[in-house]
Amino acid sequence: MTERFAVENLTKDYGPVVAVDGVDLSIEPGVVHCLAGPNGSGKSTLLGVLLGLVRPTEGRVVRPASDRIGASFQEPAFYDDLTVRENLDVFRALAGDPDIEWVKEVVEVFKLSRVFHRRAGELSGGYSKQLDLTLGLLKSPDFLLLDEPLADLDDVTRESLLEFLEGYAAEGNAVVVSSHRIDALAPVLDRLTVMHEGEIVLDGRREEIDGTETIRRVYREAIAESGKETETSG
Amino acid sequence: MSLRALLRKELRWSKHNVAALVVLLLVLPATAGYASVTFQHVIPQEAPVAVVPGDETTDDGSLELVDAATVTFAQPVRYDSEAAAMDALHREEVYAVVTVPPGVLNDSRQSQLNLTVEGSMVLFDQPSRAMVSILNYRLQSGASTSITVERTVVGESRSLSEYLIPILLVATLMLFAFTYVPYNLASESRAIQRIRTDSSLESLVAAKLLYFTLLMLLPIVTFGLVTAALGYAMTPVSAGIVAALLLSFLAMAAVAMAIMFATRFGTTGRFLSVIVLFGLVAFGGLIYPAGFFSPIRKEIVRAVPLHYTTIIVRSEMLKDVPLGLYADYFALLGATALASLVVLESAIVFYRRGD
Repeated sequence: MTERFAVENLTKDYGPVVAVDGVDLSIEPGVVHCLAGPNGSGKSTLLGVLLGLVRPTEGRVVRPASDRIGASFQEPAFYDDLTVRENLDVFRALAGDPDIEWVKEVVEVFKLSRVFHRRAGELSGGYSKQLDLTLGLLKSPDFLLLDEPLADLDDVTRESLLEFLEGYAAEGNAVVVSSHRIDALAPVLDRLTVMHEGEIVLDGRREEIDGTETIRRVYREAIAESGKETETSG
Repeated sequence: MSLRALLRKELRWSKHNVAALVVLLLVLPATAGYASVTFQHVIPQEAPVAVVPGDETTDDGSLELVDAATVTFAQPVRYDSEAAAMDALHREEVYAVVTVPPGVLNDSRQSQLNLTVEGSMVLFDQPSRAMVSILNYRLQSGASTSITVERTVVGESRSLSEYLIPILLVATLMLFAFTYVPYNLASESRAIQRIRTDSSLESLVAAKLLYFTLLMLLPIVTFGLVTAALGYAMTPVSAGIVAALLLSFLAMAAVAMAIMFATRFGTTGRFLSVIVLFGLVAFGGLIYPAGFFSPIRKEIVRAVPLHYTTIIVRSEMLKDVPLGLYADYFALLGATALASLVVLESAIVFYRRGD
């Protein structure tokens, strides 16, 4: 078994629509890896394949031996009828009863104790996202895959999340964040992969891209350049 | 003008929900309409009736005479021994046993035939009285000898209310399986993605099936308490009742879940489940016993495993018959539950492939 977590020559189509087109990507430990791109660029599909939720049409997924893979979804995934606390209990048990101190720490980061006894289905968009993120972190995963984690979060919670992710990656865990909000992620990312129309149009380390302002510019240029190529080839 | 815009919105909504609307507005009414045909015979015309020799000296001619007299209002079925015929009566394979004594065709003696029915088969009470009258008339006019037919009731005679208790209990479990179980899965569909990463869909459905199946002990016990409160002299709960009902519920819930996975938890799946429920009520012989229907419909009812659940539960509650008589019915229910689980697993695989 391997600790490598990667996709090789991955293609996923939904009939005539090609969501991901011949992508190679390897997940690295110890970095915050931002998977950026506009809506419909194939980020969520790629994460779905990595999580084993989406079957590739072609290509190969190399999964790590560790089953400690945590996720937060674009649409929060929990039991609406249960309270926040009950959801935490259920998914903590499914995660193999991780250390309670760790669970308390994550709950504190996302300020869930304020809504502990509320039905999850009645939570605001922000708290729904915070609960989903907490559930994804319960088993202190070696690989953390987050799909649009910044959506619906207020500024303070967003800052807390980014700070937390930076620290979590620094402990040697792999953190993959899919988002189209490159501005917010720029200060913490270690690696940037830009997707456009199902293809990777840029993949580089922070030091290679050089600085937050450059990251923003490179991202925009990568999208624009890819769009021109599409127009030309089309 | 806002009315026109909103009406246009409703039309667009219909376009996006066409599958659910087709099921609800076309398939469901068609099924309900056809289901009404099931109840065209409230008085049985082709109910199977056992014709059995009183002893080994009963000649074939006597049996043929009784066959001929019976065939106009029932479907005579020959049995070699009274014991085998009584077993068939308890298993609802036949609804009456006509015992033919020796020498029916002998001019010099008076013969008495016996028509035996079960006291628990309430709906067959009046028809069996009519049968005795018709048999008396036909045998006396068709033979030169003096023949009379006597009606004997085995087991306790039951009221219609008592007869309905096992039916309503089975119906309660059906309702839960085909309405609440699909609703429950649909309402939790948001959590499915996370369950798939933290556990497996198989574990999820196993937990649900186990929990809901055990939960069915509550309506079983409740019916028991109600029958006790009403003073019905019946066996409200027994190992046979619990086993037959839980096996049947497991199968029905698995089918309902399979429908929901195959339709990706959509509204269409919930309506399809309701249609299956209607179909089972109409074609599962739940209310009227199989013998009340035409030969083709009888075969349909006998192909539905739930028919055997009803027989077992009715027998356990209302009759004093050993459970071993229904061993093959239990085997069928077990096999059905197993087959339903295979269907459910196939639906889960289909669901995964749709991603």
